[in-house]
Amino acid sequence: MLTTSLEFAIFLPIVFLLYWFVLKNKLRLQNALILVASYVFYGWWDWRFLILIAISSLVDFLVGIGLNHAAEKSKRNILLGISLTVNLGMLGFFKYYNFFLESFVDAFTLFGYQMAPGRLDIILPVGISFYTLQTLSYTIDVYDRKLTGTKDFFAFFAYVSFFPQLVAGPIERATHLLPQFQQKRHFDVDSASDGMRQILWGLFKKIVVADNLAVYTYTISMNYQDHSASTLLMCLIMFSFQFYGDFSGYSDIAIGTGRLFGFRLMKNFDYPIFARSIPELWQKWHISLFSWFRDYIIKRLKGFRKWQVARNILIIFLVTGFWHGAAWTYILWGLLHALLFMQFIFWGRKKFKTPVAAGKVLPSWVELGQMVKTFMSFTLLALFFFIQPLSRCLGYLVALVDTSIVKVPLLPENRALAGIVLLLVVEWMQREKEHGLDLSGRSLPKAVRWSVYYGLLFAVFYYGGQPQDFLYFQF
Amino acid sequence: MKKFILHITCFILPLAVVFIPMELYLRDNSYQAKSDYLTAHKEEIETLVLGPSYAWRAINPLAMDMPTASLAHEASAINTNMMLFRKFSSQLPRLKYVLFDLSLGYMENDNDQRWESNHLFNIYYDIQNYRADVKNSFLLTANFKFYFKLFCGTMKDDKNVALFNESGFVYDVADYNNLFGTYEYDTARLRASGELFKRLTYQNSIHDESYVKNEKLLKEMVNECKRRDIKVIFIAPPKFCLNNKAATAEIIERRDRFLRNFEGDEEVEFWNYEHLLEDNAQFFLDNTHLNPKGAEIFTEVLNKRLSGLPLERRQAQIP
Repeated sequence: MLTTSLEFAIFLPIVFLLYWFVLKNKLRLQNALILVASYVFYGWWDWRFLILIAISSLVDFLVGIGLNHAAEKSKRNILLGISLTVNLGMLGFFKYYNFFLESFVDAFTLFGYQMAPGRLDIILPVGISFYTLQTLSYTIDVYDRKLTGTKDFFAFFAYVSFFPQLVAGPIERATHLLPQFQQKRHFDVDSASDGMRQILWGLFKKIVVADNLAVYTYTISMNYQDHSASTLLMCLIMFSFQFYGDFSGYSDIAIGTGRLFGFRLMKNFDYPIFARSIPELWQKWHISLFSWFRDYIIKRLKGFRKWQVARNILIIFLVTGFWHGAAWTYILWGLLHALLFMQFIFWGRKKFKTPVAAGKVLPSWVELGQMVKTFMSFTLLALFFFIQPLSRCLGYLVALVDTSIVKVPLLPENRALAGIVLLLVVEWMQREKEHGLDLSGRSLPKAVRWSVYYGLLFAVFYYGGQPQDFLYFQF
Repeated sequence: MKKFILHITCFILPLAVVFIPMELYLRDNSYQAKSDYLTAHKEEIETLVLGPSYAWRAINPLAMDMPTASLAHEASAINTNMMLFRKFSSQLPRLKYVLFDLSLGYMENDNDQRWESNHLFNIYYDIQNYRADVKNSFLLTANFKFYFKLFCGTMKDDKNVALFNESGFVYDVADYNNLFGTYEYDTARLRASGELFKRLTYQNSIHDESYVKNEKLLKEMVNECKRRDIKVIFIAPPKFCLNNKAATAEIIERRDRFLRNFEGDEEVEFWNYEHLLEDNAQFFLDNTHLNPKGAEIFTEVLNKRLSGLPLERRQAQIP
């Protein structure tokens, strides 16, 4: 079930009313409802996916309890090993089996051996990359004794499968989200209202900006040979906006939905389009993933010397790239980002402690230059994310280096461009707030606020593009 | 909590007050008429018309001597017509003729799941084309922009409202559909506007995959009709001369190739009226669609020819 679909618009109020009215003050039943709702939500795609998430949850639930009772290091290692093997094994099989198989065959072919093993026709279960990291965070935290293994079946299963963020994050830490399932939740009208606003803003970003741009970027990229270099560059720029609108839109809907049920999910995007450097961008883009790798991989590697930090950065980006997809383009994308990042390690970087143009209406010329440079770096590297396979990607890159770069580019539809302008203006004005429609600290008359809501809702319906799956569902 | 629910209700209520009546108003359309007419005359219908909007706008079922229903529709393709055939033909006990529009280029089309009229099949014929989708249960949620504009257009001016009879045939076209009428049937003005040349290439597009798929579907339909002693008549309604002249030899040959499958087969015929009225702009809405005046003539021609078929066939299935 897409969170932008009418099905979800019917599903959400039903769950909401049951949750707050029928099961009010009954924590276990509320958790059970969330679990059932999450499984309905997830099974809407394909009920067979439920088997995997149930196995993953059950294994980690039992491992968590086992870790409570295991004092010896060796026993704890075995239990952690079971969790890692099952979770990463399922992820590896469903997501990476064919990739490894093909890479293996290619390597043998290079040395003159011909192999023809059969590819498996595997469907990648939606969201497996996300919930695998979420459930692993629990086992690792219990292993590290940051958490006690829970015996509350419903709380744990609901934590792993919590429907607002199940299929595309934010990837929650057990230390942050699981306790919220274990304590009584109170309805907060201000928080819920703000959640609704965040959902609306997320819908706008996804449906008006990303979905409208999707047609343009898809059409151009599929026939890139027929277009000028300037159009190809424009297509990449538009893809960056599509990418941002799609993914941050999903996160806004997820966080807003969570707030309706009394949960606080972590922030996943902090206005990365206004980042002034690549390191700052990565503190603002897909925060939950990057911080997951930082907390669970990098902190174990340790090391503060420049070369050690550079090594860690290289590892984190390669893993990030590979996590995104079983293709060499993603790995290359991660590698190139790592290289961009490293220049700031070796040649020093300015740490930005305040938001861009803090307290001012407009940025300085220097800040503007920094933002454009960062955005364009991100955009050019997005090519490796956007175009598959590697051969087409390189073809696109070659086509970009052409004298036709000076030609007038083909632009997307006006409504898509208008959507981008509105997104930039609103998010710039709101860059120190939680989300684009966060009205805390602003006293706008009700008539104005409601006009904005109706206007955005109308834009979503009237100017919305052809509905598209969220980009991150494929990961 | 109460405050929150109250706010949400207050926010949604005006939307409901505006959009529910709008949805109800828009639902009264030619699809509804076609569906109602078919349901009301199930026991009598002897002729079923299928195909694209060319046939829908060209044949007035009420003007036919034989009880006739038309399910021909806009933006259609053979696969969507086959869905209608499968669903409804078995519900028509007296069905003797299927008139299937096989205009040039129609075999080269296919409607995939992005087909813009999925929702109409869902709402009016209870045919869930592709994956079930709640938004396809309502006109406004299925295509808000289109229906909102349509509604505003009809509210603005009566001339934007198409009038149809109980069988769903449009006898008074909306202004925005009447291209030739807008230019007062003056071909010189139409030529100068460039409008005449739009969509000319449409009928000449070749799609092998769709052709093969459609050929199979049509053969299935013919076989099913033969099994039930129903005659299949492929028809090609009149088109404006410019359209006929633009037809390529290849596209004509591809249709002929399919029709050669039925040479000597008495149960299958092809009635080609593409050139009928072709030089008379006053009978057309645009290059490919007859207007109600043209439809009146064509329906009469078709009616006479159909009535002239052996009487035994017409009475064969009457209990």
